[in-house]
Amino acid sequence: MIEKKFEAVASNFEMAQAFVNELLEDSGCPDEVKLDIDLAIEEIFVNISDYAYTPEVGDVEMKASISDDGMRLTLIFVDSGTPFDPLKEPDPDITLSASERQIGGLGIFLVKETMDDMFYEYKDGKNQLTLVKGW
Amino acid sequence: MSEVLTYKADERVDTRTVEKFSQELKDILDKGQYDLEIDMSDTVYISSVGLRVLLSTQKEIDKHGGSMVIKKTGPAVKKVFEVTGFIRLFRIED
Repeated sequence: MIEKKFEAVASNFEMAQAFVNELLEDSGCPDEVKLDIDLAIEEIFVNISDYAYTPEVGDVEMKASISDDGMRLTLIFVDSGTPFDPLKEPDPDITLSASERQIGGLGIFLVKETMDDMFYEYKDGKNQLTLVKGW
Repeated sequence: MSEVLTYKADERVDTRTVEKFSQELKDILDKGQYDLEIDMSDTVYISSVGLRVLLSTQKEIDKHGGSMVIKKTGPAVKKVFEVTGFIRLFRIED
């Protein structure tokens, strides 16, 4: 498992992506799965940066590991901001027309739909969100 | 019928590039140009911030009776459109 702490500022999302991509480099993870993972990292990282600590700035701690069979990534985001369970957010109604569609809620929905598994826990005063994606 | 303008989106439409994407589309609409093609042949990655800009652009164009067509989407962008239901909101052509 590798771990890294980032300042929870939206513009750091690319550093967070690079941190995980380095782990995935020789993993045999297909490019289209890497894009799903990149997307999930951006959505979660930016969400934490925008909402967890405002107006203060805190940290996002990321932990990433590949399973023993080399076919699955587990990615954990830890922050000590406002308790927030993204799994409890209502899904956007994707059947509505453009004029009825609301702007928000898309990012987390995208993560839910593209990852294989997602768990949330509030422990020791910290939000802990786990994403799992196999290939 | 007014002339259609083609706008080519960048390779990545994400939190870093979205301000430029949003501003460039807004500049086009501000000139009264409401018939628009968005060429996404270079785009390999789009996140929810980019989708929001596309949705608000579509809404603005609808308000003015214009047309927006998204052209040449690659598999990654198409997948994001499918997952979010955006595939049904936009006119998407090859």
